[in-house]
Amino acid sequence: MNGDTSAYWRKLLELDKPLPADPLAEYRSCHRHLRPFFYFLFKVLSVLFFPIQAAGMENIPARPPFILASNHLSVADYPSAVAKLPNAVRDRLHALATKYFYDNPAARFFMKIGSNVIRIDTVTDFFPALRAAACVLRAGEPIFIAPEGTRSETGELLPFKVGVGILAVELNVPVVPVYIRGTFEIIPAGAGMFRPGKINVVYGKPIDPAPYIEKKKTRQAYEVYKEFTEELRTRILELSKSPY
Amino acid sequence: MTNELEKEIKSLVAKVIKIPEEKIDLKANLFTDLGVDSLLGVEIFAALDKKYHIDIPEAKLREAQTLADIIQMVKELKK
Repeated sequence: MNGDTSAYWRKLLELDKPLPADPLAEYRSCHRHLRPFFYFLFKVLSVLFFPIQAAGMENIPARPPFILASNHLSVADYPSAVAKLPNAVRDRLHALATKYFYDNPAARFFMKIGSNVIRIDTVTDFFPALRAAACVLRAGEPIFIAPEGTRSETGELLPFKVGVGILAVELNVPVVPVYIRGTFEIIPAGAGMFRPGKINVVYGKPIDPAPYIEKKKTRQAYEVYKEFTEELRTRILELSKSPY
Repeated sequence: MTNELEKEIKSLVAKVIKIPEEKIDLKANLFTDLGVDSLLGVEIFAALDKKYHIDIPEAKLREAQTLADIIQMVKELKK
């Protein structure tokens, strides 16, 4: 199979359609007004019960769009990963949340306070979610994604879903690998209450999709997306071995 | 002509999913019997879109499950 097959993927993602007048309106919830209070409270709790250390924040590109992609261990991952970021970055981030959480009213309430949330269906219908994420990136905003698609029940890194590779390669957006350590011990999947502990967040160097865009000229698009996604997974595994 | 088209599509699908042509039965479910994941399924459509310049609607991604379904779909869209 020779040659770039991405034209169809671009069509499905509607990448060549003009953006709506206000592409971010759908994700700009009134809950965001509670965000400063939420992160203040989260920081107080973290100082008392689960101190967060962050390293490599200089690797986050100065200007969006970009993708932050992290491992997924716990409901505490997102707030832990962004707690130390400057408000200006945190407020612009759009987090992809599975319908499993989003469709739960209580979870949705807190998610909308914590971030601008995009609902995704990773099992049966992922294109609407990919289109929504692509729309946010095309509008020049950053997104946060957990490519495993679900929380790891063992703490081990699961296989990654290819959506992140599709977005990065088709939109030429850098991806910052993020490794979160400690949230699994503090509140793993299924736990009702948190335990005290320490959290480390490491931001790695961004992965530039340019070489993959070049590869796509002579390869199946899907293979290239997969390869990009594998590199991201490898980089997150490497971060997991860092001393931070 | 029809047989040629069928052979051509079978060959293209085999190359995309990297399974020898002789192992792909017309009625085998690509996803459950041959282990094609949903995004590789999209890549089959991307390759068909590129080769035949047909506009495959998104809904067809969920409908076409077998090689026979895909051949039928291409025939209809080429009309």
